[in-house]
Amino acid sequence: MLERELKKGSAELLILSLVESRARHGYEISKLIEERSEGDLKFNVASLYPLLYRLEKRGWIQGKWVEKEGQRRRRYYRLTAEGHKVLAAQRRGWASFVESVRRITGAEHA
Amino acid sequence: MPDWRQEIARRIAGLGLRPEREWEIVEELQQHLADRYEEWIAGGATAAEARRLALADLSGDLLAKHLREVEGLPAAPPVVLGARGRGSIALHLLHDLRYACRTLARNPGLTAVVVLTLALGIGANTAVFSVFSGVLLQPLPYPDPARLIWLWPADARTGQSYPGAISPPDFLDYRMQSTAFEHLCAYLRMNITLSGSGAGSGEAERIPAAGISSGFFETFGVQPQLGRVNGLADERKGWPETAILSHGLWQRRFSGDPAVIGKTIHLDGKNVTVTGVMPAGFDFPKGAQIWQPAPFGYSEMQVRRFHFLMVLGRLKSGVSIGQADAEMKSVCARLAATYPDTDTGYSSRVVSLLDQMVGSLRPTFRMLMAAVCLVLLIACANVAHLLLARAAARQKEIAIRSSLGASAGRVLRQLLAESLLLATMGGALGSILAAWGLRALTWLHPANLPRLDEVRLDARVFVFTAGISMLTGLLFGLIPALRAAQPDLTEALKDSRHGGSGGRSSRFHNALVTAEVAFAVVLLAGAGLLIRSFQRLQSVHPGFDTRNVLALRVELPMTPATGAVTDPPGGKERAFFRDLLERLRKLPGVESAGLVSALPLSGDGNDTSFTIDGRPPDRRNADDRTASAGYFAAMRIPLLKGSWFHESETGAREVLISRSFAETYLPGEDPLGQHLLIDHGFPFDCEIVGVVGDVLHRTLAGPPRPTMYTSYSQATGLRAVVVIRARASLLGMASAAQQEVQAIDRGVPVFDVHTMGDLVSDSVGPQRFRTVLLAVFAGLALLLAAAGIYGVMSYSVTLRTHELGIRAALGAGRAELMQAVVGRSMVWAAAGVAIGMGAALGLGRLLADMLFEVRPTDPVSFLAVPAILLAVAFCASYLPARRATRVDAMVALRYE
Repeated sequence: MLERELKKGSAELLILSLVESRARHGYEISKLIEERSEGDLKFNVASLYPLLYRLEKRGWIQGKWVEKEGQRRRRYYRLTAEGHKVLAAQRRGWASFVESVRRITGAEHA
Repeated sequence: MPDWRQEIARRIAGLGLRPEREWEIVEELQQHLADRYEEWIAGGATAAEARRLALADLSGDLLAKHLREVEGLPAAPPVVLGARGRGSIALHLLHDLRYACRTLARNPGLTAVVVLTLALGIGANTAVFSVFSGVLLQPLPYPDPARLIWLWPADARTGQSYPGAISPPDFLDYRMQSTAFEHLCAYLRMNITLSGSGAGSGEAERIPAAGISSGFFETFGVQPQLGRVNGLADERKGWPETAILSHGLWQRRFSGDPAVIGKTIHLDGKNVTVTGVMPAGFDFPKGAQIWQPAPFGYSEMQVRRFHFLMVLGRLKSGVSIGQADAEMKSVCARLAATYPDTDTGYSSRVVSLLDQMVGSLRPTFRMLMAAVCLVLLIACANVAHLLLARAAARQKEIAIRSSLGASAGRVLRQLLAESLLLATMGGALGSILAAWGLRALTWLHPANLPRLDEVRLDARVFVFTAGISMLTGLLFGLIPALRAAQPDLTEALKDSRHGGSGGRSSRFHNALVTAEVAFAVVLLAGAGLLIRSFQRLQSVHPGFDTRNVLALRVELPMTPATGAVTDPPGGKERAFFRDLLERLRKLPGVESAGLVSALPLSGDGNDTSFTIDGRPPDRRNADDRTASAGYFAAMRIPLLKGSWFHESETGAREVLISRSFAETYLPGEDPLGQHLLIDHGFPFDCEIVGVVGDVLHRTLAGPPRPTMYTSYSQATGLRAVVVIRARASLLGMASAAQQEVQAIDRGVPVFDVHTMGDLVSDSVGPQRFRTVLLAVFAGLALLLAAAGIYGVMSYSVTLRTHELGIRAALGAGRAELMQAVVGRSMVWAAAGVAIGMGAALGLGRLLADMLFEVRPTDPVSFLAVPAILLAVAFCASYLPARRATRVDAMVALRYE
């Protein structure tokens, strides 16, 4: 249970932080996650897009169709003001979680 | 690049998403898979492998499962594009409308242009129809109004009726001898002075009234609110002894006191008993506030030659107008045999009362309805073009929906829902414009357009507007929708910027241009003819000088014939008017002043038969006026021959004749010194002392009628129009004149104050009304057509950017490109001009009756109109063409 929530929570955190600096489309997000995790984390279409839509419904990100010169029409997602707040809160939570884990596991290995 | 859209759509079909949401997801995932596919290919996979791997990304049922959680949709019956039989039609309709709303909201600019264009077209139609409906279609506000008839006198030989009146003895015989009518009644308009303490509060007041026969109110089917109406006993009197008040007068002067019945009031200085009060809303003849029984026992009422009664009636149920007409003609023939002296040549004609009131307006309104229909057609063509252009841009979306399984019918319905929504919005805005337009119409109100106060935007107008809006929606929406609903899927799905730019499409656009131009030509040609005709009419010299002339009516109270003659007849009245004229001439700024029995172009006046002394009595007829010498000076009517009246009350009777009188009845002779026997009910011998210039008494549009003027100083007239010519300004003249009248007799009211300029201008009210309206509609048509041509040209230039780029690259100069673009549109416009001219020449004949001194094939109109249209078409295509020739060849070619 915890694992599932954790995974879901971390996936959300990943996406929110990826669109923090600029708007990105779905394929770009999935490629970035793949690259930055060096292939450890992979989102297929069936999980990535429902997740994006969920975040959009909550009002954390906002998608918009954009047509760029010489490119296909794509839907770009950007972080909303609400999303910024959520991201900051999640980051704090994540940091304290990692810190807790480090303290527990670190104490064992120390 | 493989297309996964169908595959994706299949997997999420069960979710029952809204179509546009579904479309969005399908598009987004398609882009993702396409990127993934390219990545695999770039990584060295074969096309088949890459395809398989990309598809694997959809992970079986997982996508639908996850989406269901997110989209959180109820398990309600999903609306799937193209799916049949699911959900009710109403649900589909609601859905279509909601979708249409969103689509239109996404394109606010286009939506606004379309709605405004339609609003102009529909608004013009609504405004004209509401007047048409209120004036011509609305039944008269009386019970069973279809049975109300009007009796015109007619020429027995031709059967042609003419706007005249009927003599009291003839009326009484008609009433006695006819069987077709439930009631036949007569009235005459008059003005009465209400005065004295018995007449409620207030000063002496001149009040519009009517003398009526018995059966008058019964004819209309109206009961009095209080008391009784006049009966047969009342009309046998030698002088009216009773009166019936209108509701308004009863409220205003008698504070609505029910005890007024039986009370004595003073009318024209005589005691009269009030017997009844009519209910509010009864207003016939228009403006009458007092009705008095016509005294058929009075001596003047027994002269068969005096025609002054208006006769109307109510048909017995089951009797047609034709039957009544036939019966009246045989009654008249019998009377002519009985009274050959007076009734020979006279007959009558029965028409419906509504026809009598407004029938002459029918051609004008038929023309205006046709004009606004053309305006609406032009608006439709504009909108059809805009929607076609947009449909081309939307072909991709429509192709996707079709490939997702939407049937052509479904797509068609969707697009039509959009059109109908646009038309409804146009109709709503059009109604607002129409309400404004009606206010403007009232402002333009020609004095002689009856029933305008009954015009309103009522249920009938609403149904008309709703109907015309729906029809319009179908008209401009159907073809673009039909075209769009059957797109060439493979073509459309390619990422082509050109949309549906096939030859078929541009031909259709060009045909729209041709049609618009043709409609506009017809309207402009019609407007041109009417404007030219109106100009001619306004430049007609009426025979007098209208500048600085003021006219006002003065009526002295009528006195019953006493039989005891103490003064010479009419002496008191003549003294009054002589005194008045002297006082008026002394007013500062007055150049001259005179009297006349009826002003030209005022609608008043009568004609009388006469014989020239020494000739066989062959019943000639001329307009008959009584005037003082000062009248001719004030109106600047020239004396051509002889002398003015000598203004002697006792000398030989004198008459002046008009030039056309002399030319018609005394050609080649010296009229001076000849004698006329004028038939004023009794023979009246007078000598021609002078010939004066012709005056257009009845209408500006027609030749002058022979006129004879007898002298006021030898007449027994109680009423006169005082005509005053000022040296400079008429300012303050009316009140100064009124003061002079009341200085002589406080009980004599002054009314109907007009400047002659206004009177002449009012006399062409109907002509001005239709000319201004047709010109406005033609202007609107021109504007819409110009916008349409501009739109089509901009669009086709955009489509031809590539072609023009190639031409430029191949060395074509700007002038050449310009010619290619403008030239083509001018060909289509010229075709429209040619078709429109043909139609206008045909339709011009329908206008012939409304034209004055202008032929329906007037060369000026028919040269100016094509020139205007071609110039507008040139400008409208020049601007887009200039843009096109500035296209950089490289940019244009890169478009591919």
